[in-house]
Amino acid sequence: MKGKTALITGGSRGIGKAIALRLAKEGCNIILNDRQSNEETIAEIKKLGVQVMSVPADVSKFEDIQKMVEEIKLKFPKVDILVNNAGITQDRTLRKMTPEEWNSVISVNLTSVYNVTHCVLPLIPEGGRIINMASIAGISGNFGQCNYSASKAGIIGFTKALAKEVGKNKITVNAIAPGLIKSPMTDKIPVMMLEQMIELIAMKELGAIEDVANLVAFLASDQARYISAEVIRVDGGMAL
Amino acid sequence: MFEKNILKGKVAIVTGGGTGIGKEIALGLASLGAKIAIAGRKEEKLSKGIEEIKKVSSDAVYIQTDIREESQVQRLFKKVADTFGRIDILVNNAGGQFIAPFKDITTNGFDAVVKTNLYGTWFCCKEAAKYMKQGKIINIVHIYAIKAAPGLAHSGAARAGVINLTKTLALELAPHITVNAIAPGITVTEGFKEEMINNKKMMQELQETIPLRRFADPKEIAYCTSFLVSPAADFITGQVIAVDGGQLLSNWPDFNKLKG
Repeated sequence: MKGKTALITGGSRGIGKAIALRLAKEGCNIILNDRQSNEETIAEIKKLGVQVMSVPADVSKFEDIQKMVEEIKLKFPKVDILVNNAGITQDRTLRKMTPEEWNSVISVNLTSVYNVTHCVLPLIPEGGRIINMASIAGISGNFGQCNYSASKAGIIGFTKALAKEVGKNKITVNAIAPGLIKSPMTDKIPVMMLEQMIELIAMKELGAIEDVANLVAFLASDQARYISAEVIRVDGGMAL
Repeated sequence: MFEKNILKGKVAIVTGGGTGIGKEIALGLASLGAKIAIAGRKEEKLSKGIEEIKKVSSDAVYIQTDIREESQVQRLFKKVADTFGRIDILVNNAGGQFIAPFKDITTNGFDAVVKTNLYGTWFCCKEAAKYMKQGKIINIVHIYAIKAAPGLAHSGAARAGVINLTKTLALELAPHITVNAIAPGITVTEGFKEEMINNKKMMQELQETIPLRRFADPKEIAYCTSFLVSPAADFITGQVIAVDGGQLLSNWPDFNKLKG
């Protein structure tokens, strides 16, 4: 993957950061998007000897992403790998969920995928890769996460439809559905509850952010060129 | 993507490993440092296949096995364990079917296909669970086992059984053994090349229905297998991955029409 360019949204921490580091290790130049620039992550990636560009922007705002892509074009003529990873949670049962909680999760998790992919697609060459971060919540549903589950299920539908549209350009589109992965997102879950959730995982442990990053690296590689429109779980068997 | 020698010291059994997709899988695992045992019914195919594999890894043997017979599968695993001292990876790739309309498939024909595709995998998984401490099982099925399979009613049913077995064993054999399936789309093996020449127009039409506009290369199935058995996929279990260029999404051909 040497010399290829990868854009990772939500790339400054958690799973996104692990993906950025993993792709950098494979020799990819990295474009990091997040709401704010994260100097620490940038420095870590730079150490791996690749080019790094930081493009802070709110993925839920279409105009911001248009501007972001103009900025990217000044430095990189193409984006070989797009990883739509940015996402948030605002958990509450539906009875209590406010319109703001619904809208913010849908726009940051799902509308963002439209915004970024629509604006970046002209820069994705033949043989390019689009990898979307879904979740097993989008497959199995999750208590207290109607908004999050809907946004992730939406990503899965988006993935399949786009795979049909861009297949003729040899661009593959896939989704990854992580289960419980030790990350800033799961750090927010109370310990008691987390222990109960681990009991539901066949492997009886949380996944590591690197487990997800490894799959991204595989899907981005030439070896995965015939895999498209797939939703691949990295969940230790949790969704079974 | 793959570090060299990532499977060094590991021992892999690939059923149906003498030809086609199975051979490519065996070659792929051998290239990453694994010791290989290929199994199959026909000695001629195995001895030809092993010659190629040995060029990649000298630790490679073939063991003639009819996986439809439990005693022969038991013998296979014992021989591999005796030869290499351990078993880490099992790729259930052997399969066999013939295209026929449902009405024309006899009970004998159904039996033969279920024996190879479902019983064969069942016997191998049974033995693998006995021998593996930490391990990886990969079942090669086909995307027609996920959707309808007109013209392949017997094989569709058998392989759908393998998919369910994959999920159940992923739970029952966790956390020490991961169990996953790969569902290839239409793959251009040696045998299929002839079909493509004989049915040019239809093959072109068929490829147009696939989002990536072509059939699979056997190597592409092998790459996915290598990924799943590597430590990079340690947290992936109970998953069925289609390597099909997105074909699962498209309208389905009637396999009866593919019969040359």
